[in-house]
Amino acid sequence: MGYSLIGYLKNLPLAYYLKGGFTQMRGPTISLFLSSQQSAALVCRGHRAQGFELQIANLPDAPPVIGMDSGIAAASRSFSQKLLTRTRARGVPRFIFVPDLAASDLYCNVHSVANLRELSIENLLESLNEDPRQVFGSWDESRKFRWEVFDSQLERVRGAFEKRFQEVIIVGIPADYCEQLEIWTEAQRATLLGIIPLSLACLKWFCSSIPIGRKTAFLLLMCSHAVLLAVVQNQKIILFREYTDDMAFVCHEIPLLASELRSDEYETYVWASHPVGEDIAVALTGTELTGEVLRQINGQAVVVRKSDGTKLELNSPIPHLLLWLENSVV
Amino acid sequence: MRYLFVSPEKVSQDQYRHAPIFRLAGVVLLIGLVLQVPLLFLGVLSWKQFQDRNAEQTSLRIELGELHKADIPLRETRQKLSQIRQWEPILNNRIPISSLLNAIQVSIPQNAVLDTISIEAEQFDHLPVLGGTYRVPRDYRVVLQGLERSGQGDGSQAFSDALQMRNLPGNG
Repeated sequence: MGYSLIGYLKNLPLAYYLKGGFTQMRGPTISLFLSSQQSAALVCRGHRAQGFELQIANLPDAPPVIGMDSGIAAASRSFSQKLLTRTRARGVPRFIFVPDLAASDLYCNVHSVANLRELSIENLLESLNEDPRQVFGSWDESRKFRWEVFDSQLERVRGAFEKRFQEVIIVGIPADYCEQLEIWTEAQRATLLGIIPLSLACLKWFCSSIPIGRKTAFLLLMCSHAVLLAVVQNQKIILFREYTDDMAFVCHEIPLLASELRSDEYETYVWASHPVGEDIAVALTGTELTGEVLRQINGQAVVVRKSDGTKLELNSPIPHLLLWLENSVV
Repeated sequence: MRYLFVSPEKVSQDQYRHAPIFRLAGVVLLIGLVLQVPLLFLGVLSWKQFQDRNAEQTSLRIELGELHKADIPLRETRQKLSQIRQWEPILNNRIPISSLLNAIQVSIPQNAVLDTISIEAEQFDHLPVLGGTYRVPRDYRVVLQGLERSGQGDGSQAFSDALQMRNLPGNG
């Protein structure tokens, strides 16, 4: 991102400064998990959780959730003001959105650099922004997407490919949804720190938090709309697939993939945004990343203080993911 | 992961609002703007003064023009007046010959007869007048010659006393 004095003077936030923006300190961070089935907000200050709220999408003036009609409800106080009051936090909030996107709203794939015509990330992003068919060949989506390119460890990369990377991960989400979130954040007079799709956040958390050593890890992400399977080797993502079939099919796929990848030793991990039903749990083999497992991985439970002053320990995947995300983004 | 999928405009807006370097730049800019207020005030005052002076100068110039117009017909008169003033010392130093002759005639006693009278001018001053210089005599000498009948008193003394009583110019 290039900044210049002229750019600054052109976009001088004079109104913000005159309203006392100079003296405003960094406010609390609100990480929002947004799904059509479930939504949650974690309010943090100084990397510590202050409050956790569920089903925030049903509140008036709630942030837009993709695939859900956002009913316009008149509210005397804004959504963020209400949320901050509930968690006894103050200041200008900073939002991190973690949307759970359907298969049609998320493009995420591992691409071999050798198969790409572009010579640099900038060229690749330019081609994607112009017309994704220049990169993928088949792309029938008419909506405009915003694109990002990562390396195998999900670090954003820039510059020429040369021999730095063998594979890159291309991720795209609908631009209109991003704009909706930006407009909503602006209306809340808040700051937007990032829109991080759930699968991307989970994969990054997994690669950063769980040392798998030389083994191959199969990570099953059970989202609201689909099951995503990522294969991780040496903390690097080498394969990413999306399944809309039932869990039994996906579980059957893992050994086949392991043999294709010639991985004798492999571990399967399951991360689910919602509690896994018994019928699915029977079919699953591997470690479910929830409860005590998460507490051990992250070192401690997510502790929030309730309105009556008592402490509440949370060990479900969403608060843990949102807290980790807040710590890594802010 | 920071600013992922956020438009560059929003990212720059956030940076311009919250980044310390841009906040500092904002403070400097605002202080600079505040400092402009007295300068602006002084500028406005100076401009107003300049405008007032301009208006005053214009009115004076108009007045001067009117005076110049009024002066044109007086210029000839002034010139004539100065020419007349050049004649002032000439006229002041003139001798009234007719009154002198009259005084002499009246003052001659009964027993005397005037034979000749001569008036001579001496020590001339050159006074400039239009068209050249004018020689103005500073002193006059009057010489009278006559005959007196003897035995009838001092005729010359009586003539001198009578002449002095006439109060001729230059007698002081």
